[in-house]
Amino acid sequence: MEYEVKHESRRQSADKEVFFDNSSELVKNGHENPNGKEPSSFNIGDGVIKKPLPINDNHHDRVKKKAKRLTRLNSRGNSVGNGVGTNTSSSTEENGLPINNVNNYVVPQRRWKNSRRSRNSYGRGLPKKGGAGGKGVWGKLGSELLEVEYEDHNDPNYDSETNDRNIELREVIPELSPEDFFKMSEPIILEYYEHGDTHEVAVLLDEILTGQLRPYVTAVAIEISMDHKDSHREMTSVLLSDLYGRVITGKDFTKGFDMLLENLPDLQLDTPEAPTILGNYLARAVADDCIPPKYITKPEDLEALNEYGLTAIKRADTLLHLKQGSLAHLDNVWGMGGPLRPVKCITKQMALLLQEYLSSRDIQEAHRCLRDLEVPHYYHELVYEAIVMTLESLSQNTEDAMCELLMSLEKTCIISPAMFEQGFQRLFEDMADIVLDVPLAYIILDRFVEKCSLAGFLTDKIIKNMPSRGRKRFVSEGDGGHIKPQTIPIRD
Amino acid sequence: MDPEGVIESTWDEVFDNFDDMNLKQELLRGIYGYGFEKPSAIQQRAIIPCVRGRDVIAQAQSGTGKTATFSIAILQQIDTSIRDCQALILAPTRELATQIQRVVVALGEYMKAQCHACIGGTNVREDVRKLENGCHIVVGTPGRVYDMINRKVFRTNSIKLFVLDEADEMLSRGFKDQIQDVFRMLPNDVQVILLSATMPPDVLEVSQCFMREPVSILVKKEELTLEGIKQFYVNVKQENWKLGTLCDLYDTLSITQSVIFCNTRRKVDQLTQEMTANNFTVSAMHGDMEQRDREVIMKQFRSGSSRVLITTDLLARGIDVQQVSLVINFDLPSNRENYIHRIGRGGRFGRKGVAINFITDDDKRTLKDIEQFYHTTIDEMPANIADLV
Repeated sequence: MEYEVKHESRRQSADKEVFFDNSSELVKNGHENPNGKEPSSFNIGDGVIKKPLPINDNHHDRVKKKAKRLTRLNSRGNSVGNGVGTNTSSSTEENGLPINNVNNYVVPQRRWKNSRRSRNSYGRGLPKKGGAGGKGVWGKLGSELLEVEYEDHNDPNYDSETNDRNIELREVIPELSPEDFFKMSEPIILEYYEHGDTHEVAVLLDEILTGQLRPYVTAVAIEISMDHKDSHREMTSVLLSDLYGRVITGKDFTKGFDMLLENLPDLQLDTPEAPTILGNYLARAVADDCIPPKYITKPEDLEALNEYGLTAIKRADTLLHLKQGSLAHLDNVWGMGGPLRPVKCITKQMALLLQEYLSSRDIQEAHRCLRDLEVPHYYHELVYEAIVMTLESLSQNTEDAMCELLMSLEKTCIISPAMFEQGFQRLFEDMADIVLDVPLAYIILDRFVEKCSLAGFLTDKIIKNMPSRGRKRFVSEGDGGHIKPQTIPIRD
Repeated sequence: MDPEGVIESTWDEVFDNFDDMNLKQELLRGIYGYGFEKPSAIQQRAIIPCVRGRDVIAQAQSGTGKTATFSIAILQQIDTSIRDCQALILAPTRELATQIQRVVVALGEYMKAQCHACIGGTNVREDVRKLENGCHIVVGTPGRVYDMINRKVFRTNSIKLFVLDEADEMLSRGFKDQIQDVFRMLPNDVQVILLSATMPPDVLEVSQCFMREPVSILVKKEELTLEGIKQFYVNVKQENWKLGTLCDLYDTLSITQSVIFCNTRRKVDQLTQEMTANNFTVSAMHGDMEQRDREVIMKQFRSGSSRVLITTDLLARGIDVQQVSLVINFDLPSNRENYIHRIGRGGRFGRKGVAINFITDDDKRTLKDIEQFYHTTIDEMPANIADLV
C-alpha cells in the first residue's frame, strides 16, 4: 500500500514537472507542440520516472498490464523454479538454459500452488499482503492503530499543550492549604469525639498530611475543641499525646501552640474562655511530655505575645506550679466528668457533689458540678442518691435542703420529669433493702415525698407508686389486741 | 405521663400542622421541602406567638426542632425585597452558627432569603464583604457579632428580630457581657426570642432585662426513651466473628427495616463491602458523604427500597425512621450517651423495638456500665429473635 502511494505521488510530481517543462518550452518555442500528450514520452529519457516503463506507449493502462505479466512470469520462475535471483537477468538466464532445471520441472499450473502471489491480473505480482491492503479498502483489522498519527497544527482542535513533545507528565500530589486541611480534618476530629479511637485518627490523618501541615494538627484539634465541652477537650489532650511521635513531632507541637497563641485574639471572640482553655492545654502538654516545660517557664518571645497569649502562658505556669508532688493532678485538668468515664466514677462524683451541697448549701455550685458531668441520661442516679442520703441522715435539715435542691433542678429544667420518675421508682424498689439499715426509712420517705409534692415538682405517677408500708403498727395482730408496753421489760 | 411530656405554657393556641399557621407560600414549600411533615411540640406552640411579634422564651431539649421554630418565625417576618439585615441570631459556637445558617437557608430557599454566618478566622474578609453587600439574616457568636458591629461593617438599625439560641450554653461559656453589648446596639422595639434547654437563674435574669411580657413555653419532655424496647446482647467472643453473626442474622434484619451502627466511617465502609461481597444487600451512610448523596440514601431508606442501613453515631440523631424496629450495635458506643441516641425512640413514635448489641469479651464491662447508666436490663439474645422483631 505504501509503495503504491509513493509511486502515485511520484508519478504526479513527474507529471507536474512535465507540465512545467512543457510550459517553459511553450514559452520558448511557441506553437511547436499543440498536443499535450506528447511531452510525457520526451521525459522518459530524462529519468524522472524511476519505474522502468516498457516500450513507449501512449496508453498507460495497457503498459501496466503488460509489465505485470512480465514480472509474473519472471517471479514464477524465481520462486518455484530455482529460487535464486530476483532480477530480469536471472530469468533470462533460466529461460535460456532450461535443461539444467529438468529435474525440477513442474507442470506450470502446479507451480502456482502454495504461491503467495496474486493470481488476478491486477497488481505487480508481489506477495499478497494478507488481503487487506490496497487502495480504497479499509485495511486489516486493527491496522488503524499502527498508523502514524498525523497532527495538523492548523486544526482548531489542535492543543499545543498536550501534543507538544517537549512536555513530560508526572504525578503531582497537590499541596493542601491550611484552610483545606482544616476542612478535611474537622470531620475526623468530630468523629473522634464519638468513637474515641486515637489510632483511627492517626490513620486518617496520615492519608491527608503533607510535611508542612504537621504543626496544624495541634492547632486545628485544639481550635475545634474550643467549640465543645470539657470532656471533648480531655479527649483532645489524649489524642494529641497519642499522636506525638506517631504523626507529629515535638517541634510541630510547639509550632502549633505558637500559632494558637498568636491567633488567640480572634479565638476569644468566639470563646471568651479561650486563654484559660489554651493554658490548660499547655500545662497538660507539659505533663504529657509533649512540649518542654521551658516553653512555658521561659518563653522566647514573651514581648511579642498579645495580652491573651500572656494570660494563657500565665495560666499554664500557675497550673504547673501547683505541684502536688507530681503533675498527676493535670490529668484531671478538664474535670472528672464526661460520658467516657466509668459509671462508678460518675456515681462517686455525684455523691461528692451532694455532700458538698449539704455542707455549703450552694445550689448554683451544685448545678454547675452536675452540668459539668455531662451525663443528662444518668441524672436518675442523682435523684436516687439524694433521697437515700436524706433517708440516712435522719435530719429535718437535710430533708429541706435536698427538697430545695431537687426543686431547683426541676425548675431550671436540668433534670427532666422522666429522670425524676426513674430515680424515685428505683428508690421505691429498693426500699425493702434500705429499711433494714434505716428502720425509720418509710416514715421519712413519706414525709419527704409530701414535702416534695408540696413544692410541686413530682408527677402523679411518682405519688401513685409510693409504697404504702410506712405505718408503724402499734398493735400486733398476734397479741390479741393488747397494747404493747412502752418500755421493754427488764430481764430477770 | 402523656406522650408530649409536661408542658407549661402561657400561650394556649396549638397548631398541629404547618398549613394552619398562615405562613407564606414560599416558606411552606421550604418547610416541606426540608422534610418536615408535622410540627414538633415546641413548634406547635412557639411559632405562632413568634410570628405575631411577641417576645418568647422557649424551653425544650436539644434536638426537638428549636432551630426550625425561630427560623420559620424569622423567615415569615422578613421582607426579602429590602436588602438590610432584619434578623440577628446569636449562638454559643461557630459550629452551631453554621448549622443554624444551613437550616435557615434551606427553609428560605424559595424566598431567596440571604443568611450569613459570621465565622471569622481566615474568613473575616468574606464576612465583611457579605455584610456590606447586605443580607437579611445574620448568625454568629456574641463576640464575633459585636466585633463586626465595632468594625462598622454590620449595621443594626433595621433589625426587627433578635434571637438567642441555647442561651444557657452561651452564658455558661462566658458571653454575658457580649450579649448585653450587642443588645445595646439594637433598635428599641426589637422583638426578642430566647431559646434554652435549661432555665438557670442567669438565663431568667437576661430574659427579664431584655424582654417585655414574654410568652413562656416549657416543654419538659424526655426526648428519647428506652421504654418498650427489648434490648439483647450476643457475645461473639472475637471482633472478627461479628461479621458472621451479622450474616446469620440478615434474614431477621430484612424482615423489617434495620439500622446497623459502627463506631467509625472506615468500619462502615469495610462492613458494607464485606456484606456486599457476601451477596447481602445493604446501604451505607456516613459523614464523609456529600449531603446530596446522604439525602438520596435516606430517601431510599425511608421509602423502604433499601432495608438495611449501616451508619455511624454522627448521623444517628438524624435518623427518625418510623419503620425501623431493629437496631444493631455492631460496635458498642464508646460514648455512653450515644446508646440512647442509637436505639431510643421519641415519645411521638413510642413504639416497640428491638436492639441487639454485639459484644466481645472485652466489652462485658462496658455493657454492664450501660445497663447501670440507663437503669435498664440487656439480656442474652434468645433463639427465637425473629419472632420478636
